[in-house]
Amino acid sequence: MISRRHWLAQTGCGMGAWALLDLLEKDCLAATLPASNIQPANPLLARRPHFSTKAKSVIFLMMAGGPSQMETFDPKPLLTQLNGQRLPASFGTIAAQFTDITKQPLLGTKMKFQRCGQSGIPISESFPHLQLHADKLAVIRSCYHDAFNHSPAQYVLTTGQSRMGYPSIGAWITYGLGSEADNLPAMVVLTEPDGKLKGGTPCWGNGFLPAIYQGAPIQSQGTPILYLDRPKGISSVTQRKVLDLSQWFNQRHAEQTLVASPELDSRIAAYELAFRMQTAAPEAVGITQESTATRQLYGLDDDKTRDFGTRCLIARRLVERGVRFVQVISGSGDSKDWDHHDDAYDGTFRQARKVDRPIAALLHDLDARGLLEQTIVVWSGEFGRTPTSQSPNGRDHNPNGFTLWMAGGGIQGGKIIGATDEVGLRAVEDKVHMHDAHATILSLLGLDHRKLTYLHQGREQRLTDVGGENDLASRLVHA
Amino acid sequence: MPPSEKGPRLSTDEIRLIQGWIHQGAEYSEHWAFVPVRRPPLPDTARRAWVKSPVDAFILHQLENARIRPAPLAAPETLIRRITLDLLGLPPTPEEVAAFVKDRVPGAYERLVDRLLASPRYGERWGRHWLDIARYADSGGFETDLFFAHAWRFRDYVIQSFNTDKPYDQFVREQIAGDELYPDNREALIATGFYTVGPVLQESGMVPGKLEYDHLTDAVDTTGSAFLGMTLGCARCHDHKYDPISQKDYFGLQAMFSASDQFDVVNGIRKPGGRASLNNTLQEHEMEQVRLRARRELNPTERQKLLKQIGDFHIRRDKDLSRRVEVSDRHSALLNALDRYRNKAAEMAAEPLNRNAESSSKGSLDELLIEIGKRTLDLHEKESELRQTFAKLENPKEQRQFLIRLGQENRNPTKPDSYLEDTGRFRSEIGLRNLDTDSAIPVRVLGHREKLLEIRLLARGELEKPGEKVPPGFPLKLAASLKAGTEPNRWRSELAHWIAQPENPLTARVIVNRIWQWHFGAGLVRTPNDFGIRGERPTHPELLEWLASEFLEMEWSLKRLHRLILISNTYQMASAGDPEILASDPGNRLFSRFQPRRLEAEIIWDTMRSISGTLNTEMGGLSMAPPLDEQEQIGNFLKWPESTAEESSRRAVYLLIRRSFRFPVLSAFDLPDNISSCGVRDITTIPNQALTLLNSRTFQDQARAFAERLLKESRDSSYEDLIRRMWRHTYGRGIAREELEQVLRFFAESNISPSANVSEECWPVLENLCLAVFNTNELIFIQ
Repeated sequence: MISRRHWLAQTGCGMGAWALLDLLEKDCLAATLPASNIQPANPLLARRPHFSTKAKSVIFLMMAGGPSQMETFDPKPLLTQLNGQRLPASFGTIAAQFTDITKQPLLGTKMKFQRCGQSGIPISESFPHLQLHADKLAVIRSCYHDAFNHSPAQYVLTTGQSRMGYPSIGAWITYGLGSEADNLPAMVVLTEPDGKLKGGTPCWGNGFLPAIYQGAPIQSQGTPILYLDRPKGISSVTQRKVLDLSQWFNQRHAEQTLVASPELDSRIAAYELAFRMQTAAPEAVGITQESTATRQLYGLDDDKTRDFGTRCLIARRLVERGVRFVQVISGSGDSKDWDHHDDAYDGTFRQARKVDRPIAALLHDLDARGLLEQTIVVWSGEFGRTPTSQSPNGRDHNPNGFTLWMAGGGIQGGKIIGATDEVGLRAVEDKVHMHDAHATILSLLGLDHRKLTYLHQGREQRLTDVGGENDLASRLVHA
Repeated sequence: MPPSEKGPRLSTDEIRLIQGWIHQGAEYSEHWAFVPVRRPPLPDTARRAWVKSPVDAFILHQLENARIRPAPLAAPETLIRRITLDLLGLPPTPEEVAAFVKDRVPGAYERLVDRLLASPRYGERWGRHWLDIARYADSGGFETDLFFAHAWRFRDYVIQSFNTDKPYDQFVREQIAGDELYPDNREALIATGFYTVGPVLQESGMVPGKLEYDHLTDAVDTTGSAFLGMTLGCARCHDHKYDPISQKDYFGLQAMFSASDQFDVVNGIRKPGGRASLNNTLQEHEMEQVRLRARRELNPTERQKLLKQIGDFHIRRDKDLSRRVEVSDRHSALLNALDRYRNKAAEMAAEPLNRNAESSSKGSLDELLIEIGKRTLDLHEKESELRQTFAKLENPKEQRQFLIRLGQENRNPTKPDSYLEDTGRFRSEIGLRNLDTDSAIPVRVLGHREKLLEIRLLARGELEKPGEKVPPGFPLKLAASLKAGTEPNRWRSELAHWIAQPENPLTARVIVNRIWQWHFGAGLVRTPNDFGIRGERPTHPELLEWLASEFLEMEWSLKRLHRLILISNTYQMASAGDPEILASDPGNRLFSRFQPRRLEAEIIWDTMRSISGTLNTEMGGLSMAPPLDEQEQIGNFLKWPESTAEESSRRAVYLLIRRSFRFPVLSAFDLPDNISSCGVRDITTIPNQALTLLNSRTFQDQARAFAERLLKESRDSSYEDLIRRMWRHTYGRGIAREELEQVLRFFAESNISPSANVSEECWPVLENLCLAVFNTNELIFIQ
């Protein structure tokens, strides 16, 4: 006889009750896990996406601290007109961190915007180099979520959830697609030289996904990866000898014990990869091999742009070598970088000065090398800022409306998506939750965010949780 | 039928299948894990002789059904290594191996089991397993990563509970409601630390009700996963899609905790106000570190330094004392400047010089007067007239003149009240006075709040969308419901009794399964934190039932449960399987052999230290923060309260666990995330593990220490002896001929003659050999 459980097993999933049948669609029938085609011995082997697209890799430019949309990509003339006045009651209120927006005066901006390129996308004077690439950009002005402080918001930006413990988007993508880079980590993170970020390692963590999918922080100076350098006094030849001896024991052990353990085999393979990485990783970050022209392009000749320029240049070298996801971070979430509580205008200028030329260089360089088509470049902070002022020329945190832009990866640039209200307080048109932005990135890579799942705590988890309905990908890739 | 807009319709096959089931009577039975535990009879088996423990009967029964022969028994060397690593998390010493192999008296293995279960190392190993379940950490996580100086007390409580074989039901009751049930028992209070070592988002404290909601969520999710093996979290946002838990049930369980809050208890006195999770106690931790060091320090100069630090800690906390020390220091500085002025003036008077020199001396005298003036100013309050007057001067020249004049006028200052001539001595005296007093580190416990939190059903789990009020209640309609009229300060007790009772169908099954999993690497139910409908079914349902019922008969004794499992032949099988068996049972779901598994991160740390002879077996106390270099610190936003080398050589269960910064040395080895209860640790293989073991200072140091140990133990013997000894230490077995030859070749390549006597010359080669051995699979796998 057919037991109920048997039936449920046959239909592809263990289900509780009849009333829940409508969930079959969402959680079971559609669930074609990449987990099933992951090779235990090589979980990073490149895999085919759910459907075919142009994009193969991602460079995620994370502006930690929360750049102001009104000073960068979302001009608000009415706001400037209303400078010094109270926020009209019709705009309602939000939970801001330090200030009550109904009590603070509105703060207009001194920033001048220019309509750029064929598309005429307005970009502020704080990004003069990027202005030349406006036609490559899809500027999404209607992003929003509900975490109003740095760490939780950085988790939303990178993992979709405000709590720690969830896989970052880069981890999900390498889980979904594996890697094309044989001798390098599949996902790389480039932080500020001091490595500090308010949200910390969960911003590039694997969460509940296997550890192999976590981001590997790479340093642009010194040793690129933790423990990559051989100890002092140990040459490559000596280490090879040590490794050979160790591997000889491992081989013998595997033959002697007849143990069927894929872990034993993959461990032998991991040692070889580690040994190769010791050569490959320094090579990948070896920007001295780049021409003077290229180094200048990225601003390596300028103290202000050198750090971020170096990271952008390394990012290009990494995607060139098949790394799937590169997370380049500007700032830590501090007021000295993008968290402009007391000087929205000067602060934006100051910080944009560090990243503008490198980002423009990255877009240009990727394009010139034919890599832009297959590389999605994403730019975003963890939130935007309030139209009202704080102390007295700054702006408070505001996750209710902010700008994220994307370029490359098959996107037809020169687009503006969505809008905030007239003062830039919250997204009102074509709203794009972080889940939607994540769904879009996955989609551009050929991954269906509803199918990219992992069983954890009894549930097929997704990067986009139960959201992601506003997937912009098809609109972005068409003119 | 699902509404068509929800997706594809059922296929014809699926409909036929449903029809078939209906025709057969549409039998529906309750989910296996929600019915009371029943004790099944022992199954019959053909190979009765193999059945050493009832456990074997169940395993063999299923193997025979699948026509698979169990693997032969493991060799004694393998067995003692396996069980020692398993129970203690340390490899056996060569002597222990030799004694066990030699022991031919019947019952040798059983005696070994008993000896290991009695070792205090057992609690350190198995307590760590429970800490995974309890999502233990020493800080709250997120950006502020509030420091939990109190957490180690809970960690030690867990270790002690395992070591004393505290009955599991009591262990459960203490953690959920120790404060209510055993108010006079300090250990039971500490046990509620189960709920005070979870993540804390400090910013939640700024939004009304948010911090409380975070804690309620953490409490319910962790209680569900840890004790009941249920993922209740799903029901926070909507009725559970698979398990019979409504959103109302979920919030009913939150309501069980609505009378509770976290409190810090210092020296037996409970601090008022609650919300203790917002207290950052890094200073208290650092203070305690210094006190411990001062108590042990023999060098008087060093000890004085430490005492001063202790003194400073207390002085900082006392406004009057801080003021007194500050004023005294300033006055001393003034006196010092005056002395220098007088000396200079006397010097000038004694040696009249030419005009040029005189004018420059005059300059330096003025500078000294300015200093005296400044220091005089410093002794006045900010609001004093003198300082106000000075503050109004804008012109530097005026300021100079003002200070010079002040200096001249104040050449005989009056001593301030209660002036301390030697603040250094005063500081160390205060330090000494506080050296052996009670610790300032709180015990952070659950207690009761004055006003109950109002629990409402929240739409989509969002705090901003409150719905109907929900009374406290048990989540599953498995047993009784909460008695009406139960006082709020007994709600958790009732919950504890409801969970820790033999009639609860989940509690015993869940822990028995965990114990099995920690012995074998895989549970009988392979989803240990999900016994719900979405979880996996047990591979051996009868065995699980039998073990659970036996466990209840043994009055929840974990050590007796261990014994029952460990003396089975199932546990003693070899890990090698013949190819046919491997093919028919590739996932080893039938337990046809012992499944080898990689050691956990902490056990790798312990094992290397144990082999190299550097393990400090001191138990309990403050968590240790081994020194990290600059590169290892990358990603650390906050202070790493560094321990000394000696403190840092303890077992890894004592490592400081910061939620926002994973300990880099072990981070490649699948540490749990400490955010939610971790039922199964990942075992992944990534190249960073190889890099860590090959290149990190930590393991380099261990390889060097091991080489030193071997040299010391092998004086006046040959290299061959040294290598044989090495094998005993690392693998607990003799070396095979071909291995020895391989190693000797390795020596010969470096021009070291194997027949010669051991000498210091072999140093780098030996160190490299130790490192090579540290990197082998045999060392790092339990098999």
